[in-house]
Amino acid sequence: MQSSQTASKAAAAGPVPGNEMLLRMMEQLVLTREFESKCEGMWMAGEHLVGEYHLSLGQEAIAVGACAALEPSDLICPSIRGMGVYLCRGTPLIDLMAAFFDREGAVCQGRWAHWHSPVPELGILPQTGMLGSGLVTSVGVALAQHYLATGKVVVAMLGDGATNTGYFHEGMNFAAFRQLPIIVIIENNRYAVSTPIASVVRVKELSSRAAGYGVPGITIDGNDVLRVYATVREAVERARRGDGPTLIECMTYRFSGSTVKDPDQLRPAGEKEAARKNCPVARFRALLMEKGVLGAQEYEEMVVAARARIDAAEQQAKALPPLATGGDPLAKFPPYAEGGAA
Amino acid sequence: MSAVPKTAGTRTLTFREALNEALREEMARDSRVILMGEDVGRKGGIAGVTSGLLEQFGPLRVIDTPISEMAIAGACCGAAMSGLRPVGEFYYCDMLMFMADNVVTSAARLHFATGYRAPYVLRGRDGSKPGDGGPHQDSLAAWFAHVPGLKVIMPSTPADAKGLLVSAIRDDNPVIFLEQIPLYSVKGDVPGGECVVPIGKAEVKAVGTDVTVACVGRCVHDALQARTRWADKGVSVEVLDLRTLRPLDVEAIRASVARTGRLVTVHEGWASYGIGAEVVACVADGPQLLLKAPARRVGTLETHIPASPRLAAEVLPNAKRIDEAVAAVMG
Repeated sequence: MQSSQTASKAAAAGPVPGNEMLLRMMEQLVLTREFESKCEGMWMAGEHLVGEYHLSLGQEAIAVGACAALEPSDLICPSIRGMGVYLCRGTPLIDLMAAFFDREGAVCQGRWAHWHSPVPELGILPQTGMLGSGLVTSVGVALAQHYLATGKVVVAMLGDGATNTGYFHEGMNFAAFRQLPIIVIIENNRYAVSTPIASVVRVKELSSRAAGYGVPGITIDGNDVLRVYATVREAVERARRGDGPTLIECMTYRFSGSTVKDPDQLRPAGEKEAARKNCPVARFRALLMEKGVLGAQEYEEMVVAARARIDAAEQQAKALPPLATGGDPLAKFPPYAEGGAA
Repeated sequence: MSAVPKTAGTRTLTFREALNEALREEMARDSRVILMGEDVGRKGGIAGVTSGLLEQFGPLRVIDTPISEMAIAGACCGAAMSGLRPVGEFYYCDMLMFMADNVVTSAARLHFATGYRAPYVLRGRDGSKPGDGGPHQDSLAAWFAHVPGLKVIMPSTPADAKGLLVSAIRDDNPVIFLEQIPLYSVKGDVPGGECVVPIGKAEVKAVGTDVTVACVGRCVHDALQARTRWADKGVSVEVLDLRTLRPLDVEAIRASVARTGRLVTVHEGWASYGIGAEVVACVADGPQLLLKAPARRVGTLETHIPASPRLAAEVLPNAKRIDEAVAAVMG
């Protein structure tokens, strides 16, 4: 599974998270699953909602495992399918819901697509719909962490589709030659919208490309949250000690279409059904129950609590006033930062 | 050439040396300023602008990059978001097309939308290479001047080059800084001590009463030569150096045309949808009718620049076409 310069075997054994962390990961998996299921339902119901939401249902373990491996002060650039990152980092649900309903308090106040929006106070970096662009800006963020000796590391996440951009090549090589403190995570859900990744690349594992940049690369089961956690954790430690970037490919599959507006008619039905049997949330639930860390009752309570939070956020967001219009738009949307020549 | 008051510390520098001095002084003043680009370190930059800076400031602050313009712009943006003041170099303004996504869809929008700022400068060579045929002769300033959130600067003299680059580095916004190739060896007086030229201010490089020639970059020098030719014929030309293309100094343009009543614009790059078009527009839609005669635009002809220097000279703005334009507006 590993390319020539491999991530060490320590990742397989990995640091063992304590029960408290295991339960937190379970909660985050449940929250992400429930939040996005709610969103999918709202969009499917034909409510007027803002934006072409990119659901991560089925892929939740990657965001949850990666975020658990970071310190709160570390920085992370989600992929365009990044809701799990927003939730794990503690973005208020009402801010996200407010964006869907075009209300005051929306993330970035409705000025940046909600599935790309940075949340600076939570260390969530900006990206755009220009796939791969988030990687190179994250490389710059990592360069600054190194220069300023902050001790922080950066995680940049992107889908399999984005690995075929020029940005990916330039960003990976730049991170590698400067040995920057960055971990690049590919969420390989096997499709770029409708196009199977296997139909447009000749390599079996996208992580094998790491060898071309002289950095460690590894392909792992992205639906195994503990495997993701341990692998990212090891890469974070490597980055923090100044040993440079790691490329981690997490294999997964999305349950739904590429976006809430994607009819998703081109992926085989059998494949989709099989993926639901490899559900990362159910797998982790079963594992924790087997370990005796989680009881059935406790799990049900988690689900109920998550749904209650989500429903409350929905109701509160709907009660917010719409984003205000009127007045001078240029005064509201100043394109320039003040200060100028200091 | 007007404008630089002689002070005790005034020296004569080339445009290249003035830019180098701006970088050197800002790096000494502010440890957040870092440089990156192809050949900026060991070679001292393809045009020699970063000469000696690697030796003085070391490889953490002067980064020789691979040929990766998208990564250079992205890395500048990310570093700027994180509190640094990066200056990225591009070889030719054509390479700005590789950088354009970061500049337009990320950097220019960050402040408006996200609370992040991207105070970085992308600077490099722009425009024609007289006598040196080949690719890389375009001037794409107008593409970037089109975009809110960016500042776009094109100096014409060593003093402006230094003072505007200092301002660009200190500015809290992304700045595109264009150095026209024929200017690097031009000499001029540069004041001693701190030299800051404000962004967004045009300057009258030579006063006149009959016609305003609004120009930028190397075309300022062409306009000054035209002014001398026309003075012999009894026509008084005012040379207005735009210096900053965004934000454009609309007040200075209107004030000059209010004095002369006639307008010619001269710049590299195509005139249609271009710098001259914007200058004419801000006169035409001003609060008062200022023109006594139709305005004329001189830019690169509406075709592509041939590699042959002899052929290129016909397509680029030149003395013949400037004179035709002045003659036309003088009637």
